[in-house]
Amino acid sequence: MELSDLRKTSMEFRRLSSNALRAKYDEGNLHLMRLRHYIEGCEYIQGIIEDEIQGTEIDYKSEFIISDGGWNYFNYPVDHGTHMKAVLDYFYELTEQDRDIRGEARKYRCSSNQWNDIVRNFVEKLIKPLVDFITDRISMDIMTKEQRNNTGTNINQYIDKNYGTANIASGNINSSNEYIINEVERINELVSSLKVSVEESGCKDASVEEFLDDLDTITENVNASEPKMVKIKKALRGIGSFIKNLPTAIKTSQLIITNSEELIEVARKFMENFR
Amino acid sequence: MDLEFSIEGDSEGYVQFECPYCESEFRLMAGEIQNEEEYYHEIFCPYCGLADEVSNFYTREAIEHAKELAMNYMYEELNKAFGGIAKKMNKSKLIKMKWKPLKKINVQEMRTEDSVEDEFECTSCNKHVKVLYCAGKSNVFCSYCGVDI
Repeated sequence: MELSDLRKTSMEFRRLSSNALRAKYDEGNLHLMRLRHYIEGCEYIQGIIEDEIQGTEIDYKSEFIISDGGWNYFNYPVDHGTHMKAVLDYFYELTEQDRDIRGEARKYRCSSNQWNDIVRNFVEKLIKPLVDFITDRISMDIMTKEQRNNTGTNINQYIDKNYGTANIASGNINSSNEYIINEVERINELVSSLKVSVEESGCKDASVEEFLDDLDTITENVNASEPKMVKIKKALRGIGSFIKNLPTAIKTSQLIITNSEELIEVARKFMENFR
Repeated sequence: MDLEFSIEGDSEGYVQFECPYCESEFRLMAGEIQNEEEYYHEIFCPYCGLADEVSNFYTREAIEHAKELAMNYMYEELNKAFGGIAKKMNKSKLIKMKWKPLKKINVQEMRTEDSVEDEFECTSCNKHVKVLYCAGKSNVFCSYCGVDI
């Protein structure tokens, strides 16, 4: 499945699941039936479920739903596949026969006596594990696809020896710090260029002073050994609002906007790589 | 009768929320969630991706705070009512009334402290969310549009 299709499936499934988990007593089985139709109509989700429940057997009426004479409760199997099978069988029967969900929900103990709470308590106990399982599997597949699609070049620096007073590690250390050096240089270049552009613009507004202060904050922090990310973020926000309100009549306004936008992007990459 | 209270955000203007499904905590920018131009009826949990009404995402502390304010209001009204009754009854020579005013609960301003969560921006709607870095780097969902960031 393509990455975009996976994302759409994830969104649709989560929307239907949220509606089902928030079901109201007067809506009956409506949202549960919609969720069921979606699961049955989506080959990808069917595949996920089939992989999980393959080879499992459980009689949900006697082994999953336990009745102690008064209240019913769920006996969750240890094996996850068996659990999913039991949930699906019960879920399909509920929606097949269009049983009154209130009647079913009332059999399970709930701390509240409001009908909506009773229905939601039952639905959550029954289908939440299934929803979590499918959502997590879709997310994992999205992560795998994104990893494969990421074909950017990585620069690795190999350091053979580790010097210092505390030699805890031994062997080779791989460090991708060439990115950070390039970003710092670029940030310094952009800040110098922006200062020149602001001077040439001849703008004497008070916001220009704040803009220049923000540029100084960024330069100080990216060149420091322990940059303060909070200060960089605040300065970037200040720069963002400055270019939003910058009058376009100023002769160097376009250059200021372009360089500021690039500065914001490079500074963000610097912060991500610095972690 | 409406009671209002405010929650101070952290140093970057983020306020804490709690998912009603998975009970995970995350933060949203106050200026984005409370926007006069765009009203959000529901939001998505960035961790489990499920949606619910914004009011169901309030933290337990916020709900407790609201309850305490409501209790204080109730105490104030009861004290006014019984105070009035006692004043009238004590004017009589035959019947006297003694009563002890209810003590209000000490309620402090709610504020959000800085924490370890990191800010992530959605590429679809450009809104921000603060979640744990390891979760954000793997897969989280945008609280506003629901897509995975």
